[in-house]
Parts: sequence; structure tokens; C-alpha cells
Amino acid sequence: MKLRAVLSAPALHFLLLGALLHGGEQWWQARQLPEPIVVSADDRARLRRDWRAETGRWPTAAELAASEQRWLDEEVLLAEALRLGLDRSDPVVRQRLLQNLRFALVDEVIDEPALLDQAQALRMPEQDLVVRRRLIQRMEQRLLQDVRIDEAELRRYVARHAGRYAGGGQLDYRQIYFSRDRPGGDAAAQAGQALARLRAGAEPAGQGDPLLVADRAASAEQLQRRYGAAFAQALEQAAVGDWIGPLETVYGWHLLQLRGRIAAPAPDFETLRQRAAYAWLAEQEPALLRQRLRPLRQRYGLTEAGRS
Amino acid sequence: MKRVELRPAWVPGLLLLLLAACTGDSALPAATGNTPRAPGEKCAGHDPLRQPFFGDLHVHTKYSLDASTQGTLVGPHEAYRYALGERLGIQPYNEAGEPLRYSQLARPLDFAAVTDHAELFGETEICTNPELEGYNSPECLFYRASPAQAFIAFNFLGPGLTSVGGLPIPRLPYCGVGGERCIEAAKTPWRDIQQAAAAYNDSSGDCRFTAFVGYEFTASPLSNNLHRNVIFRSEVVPEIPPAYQEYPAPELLWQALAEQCKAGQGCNVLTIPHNSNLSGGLMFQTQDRNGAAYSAEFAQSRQDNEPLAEIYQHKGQSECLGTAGAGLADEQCGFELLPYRNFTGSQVSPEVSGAPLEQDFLRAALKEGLRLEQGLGANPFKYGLIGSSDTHLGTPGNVAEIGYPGHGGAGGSARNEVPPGLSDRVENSPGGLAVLWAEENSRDALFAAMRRREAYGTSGTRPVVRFFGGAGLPADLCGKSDFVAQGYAQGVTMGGDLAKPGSGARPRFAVAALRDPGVGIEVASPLQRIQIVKGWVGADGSTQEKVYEVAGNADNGAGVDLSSCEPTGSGYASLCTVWEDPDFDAAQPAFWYARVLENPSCRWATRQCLAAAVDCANPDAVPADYADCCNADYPKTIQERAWTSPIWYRPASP
Repeated sequence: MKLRAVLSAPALHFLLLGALLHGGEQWWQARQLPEPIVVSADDRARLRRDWRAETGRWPTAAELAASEQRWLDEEVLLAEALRLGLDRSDPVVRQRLLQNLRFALVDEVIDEPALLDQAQALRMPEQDLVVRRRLIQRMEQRLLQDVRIDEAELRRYVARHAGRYAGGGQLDYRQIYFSRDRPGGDAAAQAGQALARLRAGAEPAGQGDPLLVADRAASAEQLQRRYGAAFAQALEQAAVGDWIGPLETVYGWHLLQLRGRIAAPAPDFETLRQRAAYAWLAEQEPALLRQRLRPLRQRYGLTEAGRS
Repeated sequence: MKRVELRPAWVPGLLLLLLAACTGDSALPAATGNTPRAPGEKCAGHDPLRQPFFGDLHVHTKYSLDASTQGTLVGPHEAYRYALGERLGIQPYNEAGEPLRYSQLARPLDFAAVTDHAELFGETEICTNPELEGYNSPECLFYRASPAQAFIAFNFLGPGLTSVGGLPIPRLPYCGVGGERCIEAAKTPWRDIQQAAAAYNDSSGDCRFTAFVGYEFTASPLSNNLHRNVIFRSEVVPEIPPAYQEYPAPELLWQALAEQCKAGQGCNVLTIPHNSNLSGGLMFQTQDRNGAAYSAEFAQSRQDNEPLAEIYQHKGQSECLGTAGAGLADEQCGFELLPYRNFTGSQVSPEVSGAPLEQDFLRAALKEGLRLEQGLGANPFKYGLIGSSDTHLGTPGNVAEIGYPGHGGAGGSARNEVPPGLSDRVENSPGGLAVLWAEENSRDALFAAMRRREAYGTSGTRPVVRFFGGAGLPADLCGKSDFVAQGYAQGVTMGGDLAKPGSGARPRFAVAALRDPGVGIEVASPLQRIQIVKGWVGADGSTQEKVYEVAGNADNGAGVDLSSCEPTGSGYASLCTVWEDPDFDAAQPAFWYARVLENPSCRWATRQCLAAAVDCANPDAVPADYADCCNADYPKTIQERAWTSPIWYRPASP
């Protein structure tokens, strides 16, 4: 009966009410102005330990500072994710949290909202590695979700990477090959004689030895891959129609005729739009993210100080 | 209307932005070399007699936990650009994020697939994947002993716990949990991987480079490697890559892929097992996960899902061990052989792991496949052969012995400085390449080549190898200008099945190889010889094998001056022969594959030891980081090589 008396005492009600109001006010204030994020001495010590665990040595001052900034970024992203309630709405996070708690509370049947409340009370979203990373990742994605791809910028990007998107021109050629191991010896001399015949107007058909790879128009770079640099260079410098050689490669001797140069077509933007957009986005994202983190960092009392 | 193709698995938001960027005012441009290919349209360099394309189908980037914990910041976009020949900064990085090392291919690749580990819970993987540092940490020992308690301890008791096994929080995990689908448009590695493949796959008529969407299924029960690379033919892929946690057996992976990757929706897939040499007896076991013997359906399913296997990569060869039967006579089985049977060998010690097992090597599996086929009517181990790198630095095709930076797969962390000493464990190597014979360099043509096994593997160099079989092949085919056309017309090529020879006839095999000229640091040696490796089932039901020398000269005296790494002696620029199997028996199932050997050259470690002026005659002066320079268990030279896919023969049912 003592307990009942205590429970019904107005003083207790007063205290409880006061505590509730006080808590509510704190909560409201916290909503308005988030608690500043700082690197505590403990955090710093942990970052140093992490660094050592990873690299086998202690970080330099600059390395520690960079490590702190990266960690602060993550803390900001995490705090924002929690403020936005992503730990309740993200299906991956929800499932992970529920899975964790059902491990721990194996015999208790509690509904999902209650379990998620408990997860939050245990600060599990901050501490569970998978949830933490997922929330940070979701926030990064939110910060980047409305990136617009400017058509002109994309065209400039394609132009800047013309080599990637259009490649060089191609060399159309044919060759007569004299194997180093051909019967009758002295392949170089035989090649020289064949060249004289060609220049005198002989037909190339039937001369030389077969090669395991067919000749087809290719870029100088592709020719270098197969025959080496000298081969590609000789063709690049040849006059169209002339037979040149004998050119020595690891295979033997080659007589070469450049049949024509095929100019590289200009990059076709319409074909490339999507490919280029993905590449452009991937290149822009780190800088964009840093830029969009800036106001968030300010919100949590952080400046760019210490950033390298 | 401008062309923006819809990619079903991708984020709608991005597509909307792309659509919004369309102005919609211009007509389709005339078809030229670099306009998009219409369905069925051929590439500019299309050749019906096919050409060899060189690539790497096993590439890890920062999205693989074991890569990111070692300081790899290279993502899929950068990896594909590297394959295209662009210069790339690699780990370690300084505090400003600038790379301290650079790497560039002397020769770009024709194709590549980024295959990051699909496994979702990176933290758990640290403890369950013996490839990873931290596997033997107290936390992980605790985790494996009692996972449930460890789970709670990690999550509830750890005061501000941010590391498991001494490792920092690895960034960028996969999205999705326990089969939960990523319905929301989240920025996930899987999406990034798909976009990167789209960004660098040349879909124009030029067909200069092919990028496949892929991932690695990372099953390592008890540290035994059952890994598979999963390669998709097109951009149509499952929303979440089926991973080991949800599908803890290869057959469950195939079931999941059958359900989530339907041909009718444009999705086609195959899986490529690798490092059977580290599977602890499991890769080619002849029973399913419940211990039941293979059924015909199961055998056929395995063959259909897995046309290819990696015979060589960064972590050794999986061709043959050479400890039993006729294989004892094959001295080439010692090539790049890891001295242990699973990942425990590199993480704990070779003694704890145990010696490698004959059954874990592809030659044994190919023979066992023939034997099983006699009873079942289907061959579960009908593997074509490729090589790849398994780089964990995001550097596809970086397989030269010179300038080898390590692949980080089993090496130590290099997050912040280039570690001194050898750049990798002495038993590891730069790895190999996959070569596909295809009409053109497009996803469809290359995927079809993989399916029909018209493929070969190399140990990193780029020889060109043709291999045809058929009783009707002319004996004088070598030297003919229509060698290839006749090979296809009169026989079958690598990966195919021999037609039954006429009564009393013996099959012939035409094999031709052209050496790699080598470019820059990608040096290559002349050819030394070609061998044909045959496996068959004898009349008594026992499996047999024999290695035939068919071209070149095993005793050509070629060697290496180890004081300079300069090669000595001469070899062949090309080799060709038509060989008739003298021991053919039409009643016995058999396979034949060709092995093309180059002259010896210096191994990567030998080059690094030489550069560091390590003097093994003076052991006290050898730095600890270079101790393995003087380890007599590992050869100083390497004979680079190519292995073709086999040609099979199956007698008619009695």
C-alpha cells in the first residue's frame, strides 16, 4: 500500500510533469538547433588507433586531421539521416534493426514499432555497422539526387575525352609476310626480292606465308598490340598505294601496303549521351557531395577548417 | 526523338534527368562507324572467321570489402577506364587523397567485367572469409564460435564499437538484406557497377570495348573456395545480385539466377568458378549440398550454367597437380602451384591448410566429368578454360611480370605507403587473361563465345592460338592460307564436340600458335612448344591422361640469365601442326586440349629481387621483406603459356 501512496502523491505528479515538460523543451530545442558535432579526445584516440590498426603506424598530424574530417562528415550525414527518420523508412535499415533485436529478444513478442523504438533507445542505428553505413549512404544519395546534367557541359565532357569516345583513325592495309622459319632460308632476302617484283607490277596474291590473324583496318594502337610499335609506325608514315618494306618484326619480314586512311568519325553525341552521363556523374559526385555537405556541416557547428 | 534506352534496373530519377536533357529536335544521324548499332547490326570489324579478343573477367574494386580495407579507392568507372588504356592512380594515397602510385596498361584490353563480391554484410564477411585480414582476430574467433552471442556483443556491448577485427568501418556496402529488394532508388554499389558497365561498353558500330555487368558469388565454407564470377550478357540484370548468405550453395545460386534472370526478359547469365585449387576438395565434389549423388538433371544444369572455368589467376593455377597416375609425368603441373588447399594456407599456414588435392584441379575434373557422363548421360564438368587476374586494385589486365604492384587479394594493406619488399606473397602472381574467339567485339558475340567455350586462357601474355579437331582435317593444313576456314569447315574448334570418326579413322587436331610480340613492359618470349593434353576413360572405367609433345622443341635450350633477367637461346615466332591421336579408341570418351609454352622468362619476384640487389649468398644482409627472394621452394623463372578449351569426344551409346 505504501507504493500506491507514493504513486498518488501530488508531489510526484508535479515532478513527473516537470520532467516531461523539461524533456519536451529540450527535445524541441534539439530539433531546432542540433547538438554540435565535435571530435572528442576519445574520438581522436580511436581514430588514431584505427589508423594504426590499418597501416601499422601512427598517423601524421595531417593524416589525423584528414581522418577526423572524414569522420565528421559521416557523423553529420548520420545525424541528418536520423533527423529525417530514415532509420524508420529505409527498408534495409528497418530489417537489419529488427533482425538484431529479434536475436537479442528472442522470447519476447513485440510489434515492429516498439522494437524500432527500442533500437533507437539503444542507439543501435549509430552503432550497428551495417545500419550506420546504409544511413550514411542514403544521405549521400539524397544530397546528390537532384543533380542535373547540363547538355552543354556533357558535350564539353565528350569533347574533352574524344579519345575515349571516338578513338583514332584507322589504317586500311594489306601485307605479305615472310616467316622467319620459312623453307629456303633467308626470309629477309626473299622478302626483298618479292618487294622488287611488286614494285615492278607483280600481283601480291600467292606470295609469302600465311599468318594466323587476318588483316583488317585497325587503329595504329591496335596494330601495335599485335605487331609491335615499328609495324604501326611504318604504316602511319606510309604513302597510300606504295609497297614498303621489308619491315622486321618478331614474326619475320613484312611487305606492307597502306590502302587508305579512315578518319576517326567525330563523337556522335546522341549515341554517347547516356554513356557519357554516367561517366560524368561518377566523376562529379565526390566534389558535389563535398559542396552539398558544407551547409549541413555548418548546421552542426562545423566549418571547413582543417580540411585539406 | 533522341535515343535514350531504358534500363529497367536503374534509377528512374537519373533517366528522367537524361530525358529532360533531350531537346528532341534532331533527326537520327546517318549510320556511320560510331552511331549506335541497331539490333542485329554488325560491328565495323566483323569477321565471320572470328578474331581473338583479350580481356579480364575477374576484377575487384573498392566495392569489394577485401579491396577497400586494403586502401583501394578505385571504383568500377576507373577500372574500366584503366582497361581502355587510361592512366590510373592506385593505392596507397596520401592524406589529400592523391595516389602515390600510378599504373597504365601497355596494351588496352578488348573487354572486361568488374566482379565485386556481392556479399552484403561486409563485417560478417571479414570473419567468414579467410582471404581477409582480421579473419583470425579474437573478435572473429568469437564470432565463428558463437555467432549469435557475438552478434549481440558487437551490437550492444561494444562501447562506440567501430571496428571488427581491428579493421575500420569499411565504406560503401551493398544494399539489400536477406532477400529484401532495393525497391527504392538508392545509390548502391550494384547500381554504380551497372552504370559503369554502361558508361564504357562501346555500343556504337566501332565496337572498340566491351564491358560486362558482373559480380562475384563468394562462397567460402570453412575457408574452402567455391567462388564464382557471375557474368551477364546484357544490361538486364537482377535487382540484387544473388549472394552466398541467401543462396549458400552453387546450385542454389543457379536456381536464384534462373528465377531472377530470365531469357524472356533479356537476361542471360553464366557463372565461372575460380581457384578450385583452393577449394579443399569441394569444387568438383560429385554430390549436391545434401550429399546426394549427381543426377542427370543436376549434371546438365551445372554444365549449362558453367561453360567456363578459370584455369589460372593471381592465386595460382588450377590445371593439374600431377601427384597421381599418368599425371605424374607432367612436369608442367608445377607451374605457379600454390602449396596449400584453401585460404587457411595463406591466412594461417600451409601446414594447417594441408597440401593441395588432385581432385581440385581442372584436369582431374574434366576426366571425372567423362566418367560421370558414362553413367548419367550428362557431363557436369564440361569446362572451357580462361584466365583472369583477380586484381583487388581495380586494375584489369595488369598481368605483366614487370612492374607488378601486387593485386592485394591476399597481400597486406597498402593504404598509406607503398610497403617495402616484394609486392605480393611470393607464391602469388600477376594472373592471366581470358581470350574469346568472336566475330566482333560486342556483348552478344563475346557472350556467345563464352557459351560455346571458344575460349582460351593465358598466363598473362597474348599469344594467338587456334585449335581444331576432326578426322577430316587435311594433314597438310599448316601453311595453307585458308587454315582457319578449313578448320571450321572440316572440324570443330575449341569447346566443341568431335563428330564420330569413320570406322578405323582417328581424329586429327590442327593447332597453330602465333607468339605475343610484347609491347613495353608487357614483354613476351618466343614460343617453345605445343603440347596436347588428353584425358579419357579406359575400358576398365578408370580415368587416364597423357601429354603429347606435338610441335616445337622441349629441348631448345632456351633459358634466362638470372643475373640480368635477359633471355638466352631462341624459340619460334609461330608453330603449327596437324597431329593424329595414335591412341584413339572410338569406344572411350575423351577430351583433348592444347597447351602452348613460351620460352622461360624471369618471374615477377625474381625481377623485384634483382632490382633490390638481394644477395642470397649473404643471408644476414637480406632484408626481412625480401626473405622470399632466397626461398628455394619457388622457381625463379616462369614459362608463360596458353591453355585452350578442350575438344570432347563421346562415343555413341552402346
